[in-house]
Amino acid sequence: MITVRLPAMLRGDDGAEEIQVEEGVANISQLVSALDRLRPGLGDRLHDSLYNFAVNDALILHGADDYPVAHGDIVEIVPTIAGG
Amino acid sequence: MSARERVAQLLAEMPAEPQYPSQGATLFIDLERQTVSRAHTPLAVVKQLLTGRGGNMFYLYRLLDESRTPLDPDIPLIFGAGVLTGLVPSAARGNATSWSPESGVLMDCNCGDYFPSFMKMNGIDHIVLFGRAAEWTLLKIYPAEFTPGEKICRVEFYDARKYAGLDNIDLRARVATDLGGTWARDLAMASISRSGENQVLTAGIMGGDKAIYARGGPGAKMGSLKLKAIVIQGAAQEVPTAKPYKPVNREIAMKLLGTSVVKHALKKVGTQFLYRPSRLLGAMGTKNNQQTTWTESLDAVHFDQYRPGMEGCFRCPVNCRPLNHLNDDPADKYGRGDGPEYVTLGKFGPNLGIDRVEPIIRLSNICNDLGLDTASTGSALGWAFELYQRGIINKTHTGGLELVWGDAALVEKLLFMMAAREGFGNVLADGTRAVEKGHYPSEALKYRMAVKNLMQSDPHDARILKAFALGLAVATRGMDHLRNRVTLEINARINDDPAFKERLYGGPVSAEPNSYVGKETAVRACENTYAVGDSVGMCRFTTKLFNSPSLPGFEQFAPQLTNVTGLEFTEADLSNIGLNIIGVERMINARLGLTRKDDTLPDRWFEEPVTVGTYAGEKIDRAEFDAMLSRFYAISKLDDQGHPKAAWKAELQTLLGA
Repeated sequence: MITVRLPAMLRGDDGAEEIQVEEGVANISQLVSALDRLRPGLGDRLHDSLYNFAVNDALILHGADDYPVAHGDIVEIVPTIAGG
Repeated sequence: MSARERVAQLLAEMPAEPQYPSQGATLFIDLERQTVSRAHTPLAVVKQLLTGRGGNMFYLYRLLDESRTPLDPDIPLIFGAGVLTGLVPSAARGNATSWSPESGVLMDCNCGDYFPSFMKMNGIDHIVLFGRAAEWTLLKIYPAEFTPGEKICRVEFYDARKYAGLDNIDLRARVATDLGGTWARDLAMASISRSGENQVLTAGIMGGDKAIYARGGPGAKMGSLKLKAIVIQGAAQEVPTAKPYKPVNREIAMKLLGTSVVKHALKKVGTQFLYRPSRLLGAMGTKNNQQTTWTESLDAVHFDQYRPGMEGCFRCPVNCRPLNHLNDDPADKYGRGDGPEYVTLGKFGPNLGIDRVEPIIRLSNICNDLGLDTASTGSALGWAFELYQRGIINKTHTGGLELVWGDAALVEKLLFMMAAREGFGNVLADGTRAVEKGHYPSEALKYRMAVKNLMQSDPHDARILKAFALGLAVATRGMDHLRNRVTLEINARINDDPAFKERLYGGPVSAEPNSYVGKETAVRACENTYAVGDSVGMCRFTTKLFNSPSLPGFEQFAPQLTNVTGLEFTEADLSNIGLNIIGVERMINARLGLTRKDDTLPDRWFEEPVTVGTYAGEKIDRAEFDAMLSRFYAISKLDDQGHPKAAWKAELQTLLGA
C-alpha cells in the first residue's frame, strides 16, 4: 500500500487528507493512473505544472513519471509556486 | 554640472505635449527650490524602453552624475508607472529608481498597491525628484484640470514636520485625516517611516500597509531629500486610449483566473506555499545559509488560523496578499496586518532560527510599520548572528547583546534599534556596508550573502538549481530573484517536457535542475520578459514564466500596448525592449565601475556543499559557472566584462541622447 497525501485544493468532498493506494504500482505515472481510478478526474488535475511529487520527503524535480515507488512509500503532492 | 542643469538640458530635448493618447507627463520636482517642470518622454524612448522601469532607466542614465555619492541630493529619485499600469488587470505596479545607497550600484525597485496606478490614472508616467528640501516635506499631487486628451496635475509642497517620526501605521492614519480622503478610493501614498528618515540602508518606501519599494535603500534615498511622503489625491480617472482595450482585459482576467496557480494557490494562501517545497528540496536558506532545511512548523498550513482573508492591489482580480490576525487587542498595533509573504517568512524564520509562525507574523507587521525591506533587513540580522556565533564579533560590538539564533524578542528589539540607528542597530542599519563602515572586521565579508553589495532577496539557497544561481549573479540590481528567476525549473512537469521547455525559453534547456546546460537561455528569456513586465506595470506573480507558462506575457502585452498607445508593438519588439532595458541598466552599472567580477555569487556557495536532501553534495563549480556566465554574455550582446558590446552600446547611447 502507498499513502498519498493531498494538499487542500485536491481533497474530495469528504475532506480526506490521504488516499491509500492498494493496487500494485511501480512508478509515479502508474500511481497517477491508480489515483484516477480511485477518484475519477484526479489524474487530469495532476497533469498540471503546479504540482510536484515528493516521495518519502524527497522532492522530485525531473523524471517524475518514471520515479519508482513501492509498498510502504509515502507520496506527497506538493503545490509549488514562486514567491516574492 | 548640477542636477538642475542636467534637468534643464533634458527638458529642452523633451516634447511638451503627449506623444500618444495615453501618455502621462513626467514631473521634474526640485525639492530645494519647490519648483515643478513637466514634459513628456520622447516617443523613441517609449518605443525602445517603454515607461515604468524602462523609462526610469532613460532618466537615470541622463541625470546620473557618478562623481557624486548616492545620497547626494543631486542624484535623482525617480518614480515610474508602466504603460499599462492601472489599465490592465493585475498591472498595478511601478518602479522607483536611483543610485543605491545600500549597494552602490543601480537601485531599482518595484511596488504595487495603489500609488503607481494613481500616478498613471491621474496623468503621470514619471516623477523625477532632486534637491534637498529645507524641512520635511509632503508633496500633494492632485488633478487640477482636464483638457481633452490630457490631465494636468498640480503639485503642492506641504510642511511635513508634524509627520516626522511617524511610522507607517500612524502616518497613514494622520494623513488620511488631515487631507480628508480614503485610501484606495481617492488617496494613494508613497512614504517613509523613521528608518527612511534616519537613512537606514535597508529602508524602503512604503506604498501601502505592506506594499513597499524595497530593495537597495530607497527609503534612505527619499529621507536624504527630506521628503516624507508623496500623496496623490483624486480618484482614478479613465485614461484616453488609441483604441478600445477593455475587451482584451476580459481575456486577460479570464486567463489569470483560469490559471491553476492563481485559482488554487495565489488566491487562497499566497506565496507562503513555497516554504514547503523549498525545505523538502534542501534549499531553504537557514541560519544565514549555513544549513538548507528547517522545521515543518512553518509550512503554509500553520498560517491558516491567522489568515482572515486576502487583499489585493488596484483592480487586481487575484488578491494574493494574505492578511493576518494574531489578536484582538486594540493596544497591540502589531496584532494585525498584511502578510507575510514567502520572503519574509524565510528571512525571519529559518534564516534567524525562528520556528513558530506567531513571532514571524509579528515581526513582519513591525517591519511594515518601520518601513524596512524584510529581505535586506533579515539578511543583515542573519549575517550578524553568524558572525557572533563564530566569534568574529562579540558583546563589545553588540553593546552587550547576546545574539542567539531563534530569539524572536531580541530580533524585535533590534528592528526598533535599527530604525532609530541606536546602539547595535546603527551597525545593522548599514546593511552590507558594515565592514566598509568599520563596524565589522574584513573577515566578516566571507559570510555575507550578497552580490553587488545587495543581500539576497529571497531565502532560496541556489546551490542546487543552477539557473537560479546564474540569475542571482547577473541581476543588475544585485542578488535578487525577482529580476530573472527561472522559477519553473522547480516544476517537474515542465522539466519533463523538453520540447515544451525549448519553446518556452527559445532554446534547449537541460531538464536537470542541477545541470548548467542551457540555463543561460532560460535566464535570458526570463530577464527580457520580466523587464518588459515591469515596464508595462504587470505584477511579477502573474507574468508568464514566473509562476506558470500560461500567464500573460508578450502575446497579451503587445496587442494591449498597441490598443492603449496606438503604437505598433510585436512580440519580437518586446523581447528586444527587454534586452534594451537590461543593456541600459548594465551601462549605468558600468559607469559605477561594475565588471564581470561583480556577476558572481557568495563564496559559501562555491565552497560548501549542501548536506541534506536528494541533492546533498551539490554546490557551484567555479569553472562551470564561469563558462555558463560567458555563454550568458554571448547571447545577451555583452562583451567579456558584461557590458553591452560597442555597436549596441552606441545604438543605446543614441537612443538615450547621451
